[in-house]
Formats: sequence, structure tokens, C-alpha cells
Amino acid sequence: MSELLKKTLTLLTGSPANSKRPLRKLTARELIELEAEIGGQLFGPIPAGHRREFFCLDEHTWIWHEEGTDVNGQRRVTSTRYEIHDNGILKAQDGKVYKFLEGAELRNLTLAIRLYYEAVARGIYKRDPITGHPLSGTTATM
Amino acid sequence: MSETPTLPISDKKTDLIAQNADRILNDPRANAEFFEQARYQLTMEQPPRFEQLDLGTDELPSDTFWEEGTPEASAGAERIEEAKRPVTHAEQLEQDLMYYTDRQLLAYAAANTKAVWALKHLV
Repeated sequence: MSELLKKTLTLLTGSPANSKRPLRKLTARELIELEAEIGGQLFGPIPAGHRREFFCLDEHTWIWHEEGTDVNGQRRVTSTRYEIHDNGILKAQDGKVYKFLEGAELRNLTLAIRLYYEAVARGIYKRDPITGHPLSGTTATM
Repeated sequence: MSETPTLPISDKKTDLIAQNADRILNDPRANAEFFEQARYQLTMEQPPRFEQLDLGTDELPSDTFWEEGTPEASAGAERIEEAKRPVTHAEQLEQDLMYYTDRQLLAYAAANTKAVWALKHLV
């Protein structure tokens, strides 16, 4: 839509239609960054100098990224990708054998995914995670 | 850093069965006063012989059978205090998931992932 047309519509109809939905202005990447910040906090306080992100990359993929300094003062960076397949969740980590999650590790990831959903639904999208309805008296603003 | 990060509540590695037992003990429907009383100690060195017990009554065999004792500041007391702490939503969810099979966990994770993805399309 051209800028001229947008301005014309604004003059005719008032505010742009998406003014009540400011999140629409954010790109998919920016939404992911917002979510990743909340996702990283699910695992407890983040130590100083440490960076942790956990986010949903797409409909089938989760990313856990962690940066920090180990006890020997070495900088460590770990990125893990979790792919959801029909037959299991595949864990892919640099330099390691891919494997399907099972048992406690699968349960921990599942728990994190659920808590992530609830946290971003309320914290970013202002939705009730159970019903999906907008939280009363709020609009999705950031 | 190779393992999937665990939530803080998972670090305790608490015994679920013991946790549930504590919750039952802490159930407000139970006789709360009973658990607030001091612990009782068995004072008789030898238990009464079976044939000495009057099975026709609900009363204890003698007044000296039980004696009120001083509660110990023990790990058990700490566990009771821990059980009194309200269970957080995350802890409740974790306990619920304990009973899921891997197949159910996969389905649950997939459904929640789709739900997260759907949120992006609501804005």
C-alpha cells in the first residue's frame, strides 16, 4: 500500500486500523527477541555475564542458546535445537550426536514449553493461555 | 551445558511420593489439630502382648502407653513446613507431567508449540 493511500485512508477513517494492535508493527524477529527474553527467565535467575535465551523459532522448532564463562574462565557458547517430529523430539547440538529426547529430559522440555506458552501469552500477547481470549482491560502493547 | 536446562524446581529432585504424602498430611480436610500437637513417644519398653489387648474397645490399652513428648527440630519438621508452602503452578504442572508417558509428553509439547506459534498470528 502506497504512503499516499495510507495517508488518505487515515484522513478518511481516522487512526490507522492497526493502532490498537501495536505488536503488529513488530517483525517476526522482534517478536522472537521479546519471547526469548521471557523464555530465558523460565530457568531461574541469570548470573551476571551470562546470556540465556529459549524461544520458539517456528511451529516445530525450539532453540536454547546459552553463553557464559565456565569455572576455568573459558567462554562457553552452546546452541541447542529441538525439532518436534511425529515420532519424537530430536535434540541437535553442535558437535554431538543427534538424539531423541526421552524420560526426564523430555519432561523438562515439555514443562518449559508449556510455561513458556503461558508466560508469553500473558506477558506479550496479553491473552489468557487457557481460553485464548484477550485479557480483560488490556491490549497487546509493548 | 549439554543437558537440557532444568527448571529450578527440578533441581530439588524431590521424591514425588513423599511429596504427595506430605500434601495429604497437610490436607485441610484432615484433622489439622492432630498434626499441630506434639509428637508422641512410645514409653513402654515392651509392647503389650496381643492377648492383653481388649479388642472390644477403641481405647488405648493404658494411659501410660503414649506420652506427650517434645517435638524435635528434625528434617521431618522441615518437610512438614515445606509441605505447608503453597504449591506453585509450575510445581503442580511438573507433578502432573510425571504421570505422562513419553508419547503423551510429545503430544503435549507439540500442541503447546502450535499454540505459541498461533499467538504470533493473533497480533
